[in-house]
Amino acid sequence: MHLLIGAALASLALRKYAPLMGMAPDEADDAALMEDACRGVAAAFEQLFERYYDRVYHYARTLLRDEDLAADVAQETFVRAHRYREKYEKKLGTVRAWLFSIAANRARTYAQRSRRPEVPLDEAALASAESAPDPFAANLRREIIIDAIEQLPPELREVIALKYQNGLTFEEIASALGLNTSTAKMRALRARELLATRLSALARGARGGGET
Amino acid sequence: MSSSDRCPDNRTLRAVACGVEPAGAHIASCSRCQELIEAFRAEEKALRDAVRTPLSETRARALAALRKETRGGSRRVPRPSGPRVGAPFVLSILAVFVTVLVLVKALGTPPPVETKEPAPEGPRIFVPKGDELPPPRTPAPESPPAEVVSEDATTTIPEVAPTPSSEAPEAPPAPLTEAPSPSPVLPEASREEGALAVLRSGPVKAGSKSLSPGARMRDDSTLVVGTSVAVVESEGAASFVLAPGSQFKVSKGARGELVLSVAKGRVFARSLGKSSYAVSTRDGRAQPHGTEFVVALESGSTRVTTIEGTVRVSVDGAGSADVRPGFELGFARGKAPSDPRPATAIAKAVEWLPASTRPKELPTPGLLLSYSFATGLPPLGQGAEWQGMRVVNGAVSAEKSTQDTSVSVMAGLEDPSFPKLDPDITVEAKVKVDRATRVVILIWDDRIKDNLGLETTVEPGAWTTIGAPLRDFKPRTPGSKETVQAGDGAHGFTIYAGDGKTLELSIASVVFSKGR
Repeated sequence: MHLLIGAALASLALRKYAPLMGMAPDEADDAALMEDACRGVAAAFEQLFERYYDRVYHYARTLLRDEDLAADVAQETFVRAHRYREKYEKKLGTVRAWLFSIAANRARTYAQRSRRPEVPLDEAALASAESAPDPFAANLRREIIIDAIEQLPPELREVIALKYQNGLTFEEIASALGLNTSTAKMRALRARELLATRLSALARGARGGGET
Repeated sequence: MSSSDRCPDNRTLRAVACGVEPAGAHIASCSRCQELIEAFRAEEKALRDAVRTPLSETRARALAALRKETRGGSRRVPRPSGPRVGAPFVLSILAVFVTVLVLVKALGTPPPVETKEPAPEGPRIFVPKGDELPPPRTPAPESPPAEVVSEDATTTIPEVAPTPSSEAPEAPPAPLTEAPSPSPVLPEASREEGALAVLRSGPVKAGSKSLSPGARMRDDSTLVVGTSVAVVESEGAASFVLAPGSQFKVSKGARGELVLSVAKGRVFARSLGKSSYAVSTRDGRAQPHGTEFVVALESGSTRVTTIEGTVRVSVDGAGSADVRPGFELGFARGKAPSDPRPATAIAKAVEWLPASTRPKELPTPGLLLSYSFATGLPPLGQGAEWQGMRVVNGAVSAEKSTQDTSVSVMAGLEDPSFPKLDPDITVEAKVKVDRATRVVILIWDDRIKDNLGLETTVEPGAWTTIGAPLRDFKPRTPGSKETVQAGDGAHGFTIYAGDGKTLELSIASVVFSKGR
């Protein structure tokens, strides 16, 4: 009997904290970790940090285009998320959407402070250009694609960062950014079109001049 | 063909590919549309891969901040009493213990005794037997006993978080509480005892053993940095970022100060301001009076580049020189330090540092005037002349003063086109005397009609750099409180020394510069 109880308890612990013990991180879910974090289990919140720190950093980096500011935003996001963890409510959205909403707010605050000028994008010219798929564009160097993303207007590049690089659903993006879902979708589409046009042009240039 | 049979435009197809619009009946059955949608979806892969990841230093800093917050937060969120699901590791250990107890009882052997030992340093530590612990996730051969927080133990979270070593990038960091942590970070109290410095992050080896973040460094431990930068901190003295491959040791100097000796590589030092320290190489020693500088050991010499504050470089038996912001100085063992030069490649001196540790602002050195007497008296413009100088052995010797009998020797420059003064201009002279005496640099300020002077006592036998910003120069007229103002005119400088008795004063160089 003792053996069974012991094994059951150990099994529960192993399942819940599987990632900490070297198992696949998907086994424990964000909401359960958040619940534990609210109970004061610091390890649970640290696991959330492990899962999302890099993503939050990348999101902030895309938005702010500055590694130091991005580091500050990512750090503050988790410190604040921990501080206000009891305010998280499951019904309002997923944990990751909540984390990204904190990151979005922090990033906007930093963006206002740093006031780094945005590079104006000639949307009209891009819109009239061909936006057909270009397989070669997908093979451009990663840095070139990152640069192209960073040249998008901020409201578009944050959607790109959340949707395609962090895997959020449109509903989660809407929740994180305070938009409605259709706006999030339209922004994603607009961003994709602008990027495709820009990258196709770069790819054509690369093919012509060997720049990539 | 009806309109519904027509292929939609690229925008619609991309919207379908993005999941923004549903695929209609035509798209589902049209092979051309399907191909285009697949091509549009291929774009997503490029986007997914275009991700920037943070440096391990950045991540570690964030984790440290989080842990600090967690420690504060744990007071606000009290632990519930009694058994709870939120303490799974403790429960699992208990479960294993109970299981072992049952098995042992069944076999009729005496039960094992739970060992509760007081921690050698810091809070109470419960050290379970080896089999009860999950395998350590981070190799930590030199780490102290794992810190285990039991149900009744006081939760202790180290102030400084361990930084994931670049040698074990995949290893997740230790949890904050609950789990039997192999965290190598020492409790705050124990870390200070007997340790000259503490490894904060990065791969460092002592002999063949890898040190973990939090490892203490005692006197004369010889250490080697791995393939990424390492951060070492000495409480209150300085934080050092050491380049990959650097070799160094820490020791106590004659006055009890920390000395970081670099045998290979380079180090960026940032003062913490509470206690003194120095960085030494085989060639000499760099003692900061400011905050940030780089020491790079090169083939045959050492180079010091000052980012902020002033660094005094001393070479045993050969002299010293002050390196001000934006300047660099190369020096070699047994040779007098050369004159600091504007660090033209100052950005390069720090480019090896991770972005998070790189100085936010680099000084812009401005060399206004530089007179070196290594090859004699430098030529001057019209109407300007050197006064009271004779060239001796690659320097100038000041001539016996005939103007003031209380002064032994005097030399200087008279130049009608001398630039305007500014409080931020630093004047430095590299001098040598044959007996201990005061040496004074004088600047005549046209506006206040007075000499502004800087008086320094110089010890004999070695080349010594004396100098200061002009704002620190005092008027020579007793009772005057005038100081130099930006734009004041001047006609040169004078250097004099001694008290009327025989004295040899040599001057190697005089430099006027302006920092950032």
